[in-house]
Formats: sequence, C-alpha cells, structure tokens
Amino acid sequence: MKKLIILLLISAPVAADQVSVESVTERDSLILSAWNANIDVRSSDTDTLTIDYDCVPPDSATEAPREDGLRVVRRAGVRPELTRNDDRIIFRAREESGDCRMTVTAPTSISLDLRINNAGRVTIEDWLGAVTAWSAAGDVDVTNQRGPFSITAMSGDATVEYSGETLASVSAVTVASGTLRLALPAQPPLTLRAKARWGDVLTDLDVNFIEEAQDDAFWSVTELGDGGPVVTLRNLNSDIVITKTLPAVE
Amino acid sequence: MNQESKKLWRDALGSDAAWDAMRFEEPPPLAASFSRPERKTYRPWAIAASCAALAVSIAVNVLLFNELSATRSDYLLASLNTESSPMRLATLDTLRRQKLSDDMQSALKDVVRYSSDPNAQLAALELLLGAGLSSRQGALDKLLDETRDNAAFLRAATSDTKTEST
Repeated sequence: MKKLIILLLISAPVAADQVSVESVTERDSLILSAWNANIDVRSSDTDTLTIDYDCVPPDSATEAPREDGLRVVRRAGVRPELTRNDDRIIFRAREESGDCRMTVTAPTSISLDLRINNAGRVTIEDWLGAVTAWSAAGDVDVTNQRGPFSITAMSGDATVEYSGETLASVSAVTVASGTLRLALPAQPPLTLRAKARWGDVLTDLDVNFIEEAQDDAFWSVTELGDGGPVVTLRNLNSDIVITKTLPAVE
Repeated sequence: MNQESKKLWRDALGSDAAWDAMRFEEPPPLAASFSRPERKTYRPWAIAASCAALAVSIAVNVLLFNELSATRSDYLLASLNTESSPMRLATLDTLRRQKLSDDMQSALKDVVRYSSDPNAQLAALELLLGAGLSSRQGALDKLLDETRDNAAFLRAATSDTKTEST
C-alpha cells in the first residue's frame, strides 16, 4: 500500500510546496494572484507568513518527453513565484500553474489583496487587517472580519460577517450573479447603501431604509447607530441579504 | 428773560424807542458746547483704514481658501492613485458629494482602466456616468476597451439587461 501511495505521488504532476516570509509586520501586505485556485486564509500568532500550495499543471505544461526526443527541464511560469518588494509580499500563480490549492497562514493585522482571475473560491477567517478579495467565478466567504473590506464575487456568492465594534474605513461588497450576504453581529455604527438591480434588499435589522435616487438608480440607505463609514452593497442580478448573524451551517 | 421781566424793564425805561434799540443776546445752543469738530477730521481716515484692513483680510482668506481647495484636490487625486483599497474607496465615497473637475474625471478614468479592485472600478464608473460619460458618443465603450482588468464584469454592471454570469 505504501509503495502504491509513493508511486502515485511520484507519477502525479503535482507541485506541493511551501514558501514563507519571516519578520512580517502590520505594515506589510500580501498580494496573491492566481488563475485557478481555492484559497484559504488563517490567522497566525507568529510574525511569519506561510503559503502551502499544491498545483496540478495542465498537460501542456508538464515536463513530459517531446516528440523530438528532448524533454523540458523547466517550463517558465509553471511554479508560483514569491517576491518581496519593500512592504509588498507578492505571490503569483499563472495560468500555466494549473489548478491550485493554497493555504495562507499569516499575522492577522496585515492587509490582504487576493485575486482569482478565472475560477476558485476564497475563504478568510478571523482577520483584523484590510481585505480586498475577488473571484471571477467562485464564492468568497469572509467570516469574523474586523477590518475594512472590499469583496467581489463575479459569478458566485459573497458572504461577509463583520464582527468589529467599529469600522475603520469605507467598505464594499459586489456580487454579479449570486447572493450577497452581510452579517453584522456587533451592529457597529455605519451607513449602509444597498442596490439590488434585479433583486430585493432583505434584512432582519431593526432599522428603516430610505430610498435614495442617484444617477437613474435607487439605493436603499440606512444608518446604524449615529452612522459612520459607508458600506456599499451591490448585487447586479439578485438579492442582498443583511442580517444580524449568519445562518447556522447545516 | 421772560415776558413779565421784559414788560417791567420797558415800563421802567418809559420810552418805546429806547426799548426797541435794545438787543438781547441769545445764549449759544447748548449742543455747541459738546461738539468736538477736530474728531470729524479723523473719522474718514478711520473708516478708510478699516475698509482696507477688511479687504486685505478677505483677500488673504480667499487666497487661503483657494490654496486649501487646491491642496484638498491634490490630496484626493493622490489618494485615488494609492495602492490602499480602503483609502481609494473612501476617496470615491467623498467624491459622490462633489462636482468633478476635468482632472478628477481623468483620474477616475485611470481608476477604471488600471485598478484591480472591482469595487473601486465600479464606484469610479458610477461617478463618471453621473458626470455624463454615458451621454458622450462611444466614451463608455472606449473606456471599457482600454480597461486592463475586469472589463467584461464592468460591461455587465453598466448594461441595462439582466445577466446570469459575466
């Protein structure tokens, strides 16, 4: 059995690896760009940022022998690359890297900028820093977020649970075709602007929304507490759901 | 001298001609003793000086205000170009309540073209549409043709039809 597993690991075109950056501070930001990837982000108590990843490159990018008898030793762009430029830590997986799974473990105060250009989901938990995340096709789930956020799901659902007592800056969530869910368990002072172009704005919050016309569009606007930073919610095709808590996962 | 006193003096003189020749000097008006004509000579100068000081003060304030507006405008332009997504979103929210200058509209087009945050691109696009971008022949299409990331998503967001996916 062991031999079989080893044989499978050797024969499978999988690049499992780990990269890390030490002495990361809250001034740093991680910019992670991938073509096809599922990304999980977890907070860490240390000052080290670690990315565990494995990618399955497409057949065209493998190091298989060619018809002319030569073999490719290394194909550029297959392996994701990590670079550091001052306070920017950049991790980039190109289309040639194939389908990737990535797990990021980092100090919770750094800024995150995660982009999936083709397909994949993003999951972020317990984050204190600012988060920008979008996926061209896939869900984006952000739970127990306590920093500003800019989230976009172009083809999939976006779920954001903001659990901070205050919101430091303007934030936004946009969904193109899927459901947008925002949960505010601590109900911090902020201003909500919601526009569901072809759907409804639904809520269980104890506040009244007013209609505000702007540039041929109607926004549903309300203030929690005395108001504060604006959270803009857009759904181009479906509903916006704003609740006190997220529904329990079955 | 009242009328009764005058009659007594007239009778005592015994001659109307002598009485008519007499002149009674009236005392000067009481107010004249309080007038200070030398002050009147300084009043126009004081008014002129006050007006001049006021004019200088207004001019200085206008200059300061213009400088402040220019600084604020420069700051907003700079923060649109920042890499910080929260700062850029905050600036875009501020611009919702302002008239957009040509420089600002140009900066907003750059946000649409080069930003990789769809929320920032959408907010900038909404501001430009509010400023009349869609009414200019082909301007919206040209801008989206030049957009580096998320052009298809932005096209779907600005179209009038419902789409299931982008």
